[in-house]
This record gives sequence, structure tokens and C-alpha cells, in this order.
Amino acid sequence: MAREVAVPVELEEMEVERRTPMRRALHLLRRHPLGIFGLVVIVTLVVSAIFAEQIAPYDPAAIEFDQLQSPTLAHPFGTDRLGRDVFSRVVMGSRVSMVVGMISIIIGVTGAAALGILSGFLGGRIDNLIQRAMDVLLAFPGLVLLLAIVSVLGNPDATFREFLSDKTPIPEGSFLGIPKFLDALIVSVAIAIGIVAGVTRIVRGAVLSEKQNVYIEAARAMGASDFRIMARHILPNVFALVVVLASILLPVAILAEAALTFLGLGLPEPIPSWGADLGGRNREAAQLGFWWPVFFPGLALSLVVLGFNMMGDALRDIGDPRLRGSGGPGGGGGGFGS
Amino acid sequence: MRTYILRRLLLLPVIVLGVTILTFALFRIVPGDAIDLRCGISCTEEQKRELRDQFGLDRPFYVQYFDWLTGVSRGHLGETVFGEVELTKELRHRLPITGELLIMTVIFSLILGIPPGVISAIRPGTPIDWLARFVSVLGLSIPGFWLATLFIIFPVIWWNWSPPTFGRGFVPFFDDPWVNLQEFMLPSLALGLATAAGIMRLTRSSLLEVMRNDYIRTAWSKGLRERTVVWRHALKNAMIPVVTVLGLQVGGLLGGAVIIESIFALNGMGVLVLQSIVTREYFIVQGITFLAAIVYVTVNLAVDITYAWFDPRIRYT
Repeated sequence: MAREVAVPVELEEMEVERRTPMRRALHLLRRHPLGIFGLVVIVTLVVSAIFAEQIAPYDPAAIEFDQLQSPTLAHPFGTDRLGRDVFSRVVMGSRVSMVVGMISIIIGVTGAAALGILSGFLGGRIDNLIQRAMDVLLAFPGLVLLLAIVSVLGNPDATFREFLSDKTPIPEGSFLGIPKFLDALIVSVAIAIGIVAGVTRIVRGAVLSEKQNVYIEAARAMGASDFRIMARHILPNVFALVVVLASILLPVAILAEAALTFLGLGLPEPIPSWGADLGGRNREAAQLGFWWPVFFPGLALSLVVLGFNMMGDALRDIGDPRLRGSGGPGGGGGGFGS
Repeated sequence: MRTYILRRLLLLPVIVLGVTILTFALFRIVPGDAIDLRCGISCTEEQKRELRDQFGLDRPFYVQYFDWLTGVSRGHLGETVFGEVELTKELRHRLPITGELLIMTVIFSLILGIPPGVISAIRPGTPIDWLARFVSVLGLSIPGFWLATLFIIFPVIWWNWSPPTFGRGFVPFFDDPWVNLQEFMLPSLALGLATAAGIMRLTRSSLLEVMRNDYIRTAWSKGLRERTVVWRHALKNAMIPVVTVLGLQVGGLLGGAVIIESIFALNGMGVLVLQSIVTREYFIVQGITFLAAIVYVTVNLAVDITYAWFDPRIRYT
């Protein structure tokens, strides 16, 4: 009798063992339909960004059709104020959003992680200096800071632009299929500066609590240098947090680019950005009733941000057990993400 | 408590000064100024130099900065290079617009954020919880400036209605409350939706956390009604993170006002700062960021002080 009971228990233990982190993640994702929805949106975005040339039926910059045609089979999203195919622009815009968003996040989060670790681990005067600098950045109204940085960095005579085009191998013209890549890069750098302060704060907090652990003391007793402890012990332990922050901030960066371009200070003309399509002449036309040139790019932008937010929620659930199952006491737990 | 507030108050001018110095430095590292933009190609270099000399733009940076700072202490927040627009005077008709926009936005985000958050937290896992959470993710994802554009175009198409701002300009509340509310309703909704969604999520998670506390169990076992337990005992504590985030959001809202004001043709501070950045009128930008930083730092100090009211266990030493 006892043996008969033991068999299924053993089997179940084996089941548990076979659950690699990958499979566990998949299992959890299955429990988070909104996360799956987010994943589908993100995959669509990535595919559309990579194969934009193949998917877009027309050249997104070509002014070759009658202006403001309503959606038809030939132009599923209609044509815009200048006579460009809106669908092609939305498809190409996905690449622009993706590339600018990713570059901003990589620069911003890496910088912030470095600053946060230095600030939290070293403490003292360096900590104070970094934190006061972040206070100043945070006290700026977000978008105003971005606008100021963009108008400064993007200035045609700015030393930063000269440095990028002369001293680095970054091409002057189009790169990754984005025309005027240098301008896109400058906007990305501005957005990166905009997100540094918040991330630095959070990373610093995590480092402060990580620093209390005994293994740090042990490493120090063994003669490890500050740098070694930061790189080999602190960084790996805050890495998961940094990745989650990056996934949360990617949609923020994408929105920031669209907002800057919408206001006319972001990406310049030949770059097909959703933000550009939402503003300018299309918006004037929209006020006269031609809604499609602004509706579809905005819808794409919303969907992408929605996808990332839902994915981020699911990731946070899976990655941080403390936040998992905040279904409440007796509330049955689980549910749909968050 | 008093020392804590004192210490924060001492830090306040440091941060505000930092903001103005950063603004100043940012614009000075780039070649090109308002004179370049104003004259364009019509002026010779000689004329430009004379103009710079006349308006004091050729002096060393620190002299210009201290000059501006002295001006601020006398109530002159900054002016355009040629002096025809003065910020302190502009404030008189622009501040009420931005002020009303921001106040209504905060009210909207509290009304649309807290009640759904509470309902969602006390009925976790139910369809209403699911719905509230879905709508909140939606609200976080729709960019305010797209929503604002839709708010303008679809009422025109469907009902031939557009906000009275187009055509009539800003109407003060006390002149005609109905028209004024029509003007600010949609802009504040567009600006406040994302904040409301954030507040809803935060209220939910924070209330769920608080409901696990012992003192809540005590309140239940005293036989109090659910309404009393939730609204009187739990919510007050759960508001701490919400108020913190709202305080931090002030900066974001001020930035968002730049976009929303220009879409809805509201001639407030946001429009002015955008124009001034484009035309490189540093002193105006400087004055506005100075004011914004004061508002931001003060609001966040106030937030810190309210903690003690929300949770009497918090003491500052």
C-alpha cells in the first residue's frame, strides 16, 4: 500500500525537476493570457520592423497618390495629407520606433545601472553628488528636459553632432534602413538622458539592500577590490531588476520619441515616424474630418505600448516572487497578470 | 519632524538652483542664439555682434547668470532677448490656464483612479476586478496626445462640436463657468487618463497589501462594516504610495501640459516654453523651469509631510 502511494509522489517530483526555468516561464505565461497578448503584439512589431521593406506595399516617403483618400483595398489605411500611403508609413514607422526605443533604453539603462551601483555601493560623497544631480534632473518637467536636450544636441552646429559624425564610424546617411540615422541616434541619446534619473534611483535602492548581505563582507574579507565586488557580486544580483526596468521603460521611450517628433523637435522629415504622422499637416486635415492619417499611426503606437505594458506586467509577476499572486487574502490569487 | 522639514527646506534652493544652472549651461554649450534666429541671413556678422553687445549676450556666462538671478530676486523672471515679452507679465494670463488644466487633471485622475482601485482590491479575481485592471493597462498605454487628437476630431465629425477654445480663446471660469468647463474637460481628461490608470493600479496593489495587516483584522473582528474597514481604516494607509507617485507625477504633468496645451489651443505656460525652446529665448525657458522646479520640489516636500498624517506610525527624526 505504502509503495503504491510512493510511486505517484516520485513521479511528481520528477515532473518538478524537469521544469527548467524556460518551461516554468512558459507555464507561467500560459497562466497570463494578457502577457501572451503582449507577446503576440511584440512579435508582430519585431517582424514588421525587420521585414518592413517586404511588408510595406509602397515607399513610405513617396508622394505619389491622391491626397487624403479614404481607406480602400489599394490603400488599407488610406493616404495622408501629402499623398503618401498610410499603411506603408505605419509599417516603416514600427522599425523607427523599435530602433530608437531600443537604443535609448540600452544607453539609458546601462548608464543608470552604472551610476546606481556606484552611488549605492560607494556611498559617501560620490553618492551625495550623484543623487543631487539626479534630484536636479527629476525636478525638470519631463518633456521640457527632453525638448531642451534635443534642441541642444540636435543643433546642426553642435559639437556633439560633429563628434558623432567625424570621430565615430556612424554613417551620415541611412543605416538599418532608417534615413538620417544620425538624427535618430541623437534623439535616442536625449531620451536616454531623460530616463537615467529614475532608474538610477531604483538601482541604488536595490544595491543598498544587496550591500547588507554577508557574502559581500566575505568577498571583502578575501581581499576583493571595490570594483571586483561591484562587477562580480552586486551587478549580477541587480541584473534581473535592471532587465525588468528596461522592459517597463521601452514603451516609455517609444512614447517619448513619438511625442518629441509630434511636437516637431524629434526625428526630422524623411524618417517615417508615427509621431510625425500624428502631428503637422495630418492633424490639420483631421480637424476637417480626415481621421485616418492620424488614427492608424496612433493606433499602432497605442497597441505597441499596450503590448509592452502587458508583457511587462507578466514578466514582473514571473520574475519577482514578492509581487506574484497579489490576488489578496482569500481572494483566490492569480487571475490575469499584474 | 521639524529638523527633517528644515533639512528638506535647506535642500530646496540647492535643487532649484541646480535646475536653473543646468538649463543655463545646456543652452550655452550650443552655438547659435536668439539673435541668429531672429535676424536669420538678413543681418551681417557685424550687426549681430552689435545686437549681442547691446542686449548683453556677449558677456561671460556667469555674469549673465547672476544678472538673471538678481532679476529674479526683484521679481523679473526673465524676458526675451529684445525685451518685448516679459515672463512675469506673461504669467498673469498664462498661469490661470495651466493652473486650471493641472488642477482639473489631478481631480480627474483621483476620481477615475481611486474608486475603481478600491473596488478592484476588495473584490479581487472577480470580473469587475478584471475589467478595471484591463481598462487601467489600456489607459496607461494610449498616448495622451493621440487621445487628445481623437477628442478633437471625432466630436466634430459626429456632432459638429469642438471645444469653444477654438475661436473664442480662453474664457475664465468666473466669466462663464459652463464654457470654461467645456474648454478644460477634454484636455484634462486626455492629460489625466494615464495618471488615473497608474493611480488605480497603485491603489489596488497598495490596498491589497494593507488589508493583510493585523490592525485590519482587528477592525474586522470588532464587527465593523466593510465600508468602514476599507474606507476609514485601510484606505488612509494605502494612500501613501499613491500620494508619493502623484507628487512625482507633477513633473510629468507639467511636461504633458506642453503637448496638450498646443493641441487644444490653450495659450498657457506649456505653449510658451515650447515656443521659447524653438526660438532659443533662454531666459524665458530658464524662468519657466525655475518655477516648475519650485512647484515640483514643494509638492514633493508636502507629500513627505502628509505621510505622517496618513500613517501616524511614521515619524521623522
